Amino acid sequence: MALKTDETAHGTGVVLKLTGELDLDTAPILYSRLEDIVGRGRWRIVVDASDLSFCDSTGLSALLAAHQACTSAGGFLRLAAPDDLLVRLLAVVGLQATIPIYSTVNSALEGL
Amino acid sequence: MIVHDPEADQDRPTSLLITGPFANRDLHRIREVVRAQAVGWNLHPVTARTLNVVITELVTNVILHGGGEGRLRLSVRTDSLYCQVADYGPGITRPHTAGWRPPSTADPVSSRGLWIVRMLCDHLVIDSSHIGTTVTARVGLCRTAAGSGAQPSPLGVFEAGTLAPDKAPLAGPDAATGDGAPV
Repeated sequence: MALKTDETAHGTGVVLKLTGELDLDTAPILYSRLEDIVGRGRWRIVVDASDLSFCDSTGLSALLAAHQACTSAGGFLRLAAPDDLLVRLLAVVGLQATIPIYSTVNSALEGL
Repeated sequence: MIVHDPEADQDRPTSLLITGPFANRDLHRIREVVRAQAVGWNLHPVTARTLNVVITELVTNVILHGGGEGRLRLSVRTDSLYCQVADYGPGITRPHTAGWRPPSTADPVSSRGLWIVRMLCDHLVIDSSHIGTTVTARVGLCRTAAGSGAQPSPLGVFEAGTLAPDKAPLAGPDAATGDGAPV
């Protein structure tokens, strides 16, 4: 499976760990996992990208859609441990100030 | 899709050709092939990863907008790498301005692929008509010195087996160029 998603609960939040590659083929997996989490009323999500080896614009679209769903429900979507290229892509498309970025999962979970 | 053996293409030993039709599940395999070829060409891993984003975005467009039928050719020169993705789809209406508008920061569906490609490449040309679209991207190269185990500096371009990293001038007319990617 080119993208694995693993969900763990942390206080009032959820950590969704992504392993593998996020592109046109695998983005539907992320969309449906995030819809499922938000659908259960879990609106505080930390996406752990430490083992995400590839992400393109379709991945960014999925993250942004989930970010909007979470924030409009009063929650958040935070991105933890993106690699240098993903950080650069977020900056290139102007999302670096929209989706909060943390260097580690622990720092993203602070206060939860 | 078909990966054409670069060794078999004797006229163009520094070229990689992958022909379609392309489907979603091919994107992962294309990146694997490109990664392996990048090692063979002594490309810096940063260049290879950037290239894989560019390629994935362009082939994704072939799948989504170009009917899926097309081809990808990579061609490596001394200090640049050309990536050309062609499809036989219906074409795009304004090829010269495609990807020039900054994408929305509010709309998840807004297309960001060509903008990203423009930002990651030195140069991008889009030719399009009702019988197809060809996108040619030039990516600046940062090669590793083959076999030396040397780590290239972010400012260095090294020909295999010649210049050692600590001897590369950092400024002036003979300065090694960077990897060429903007931002």
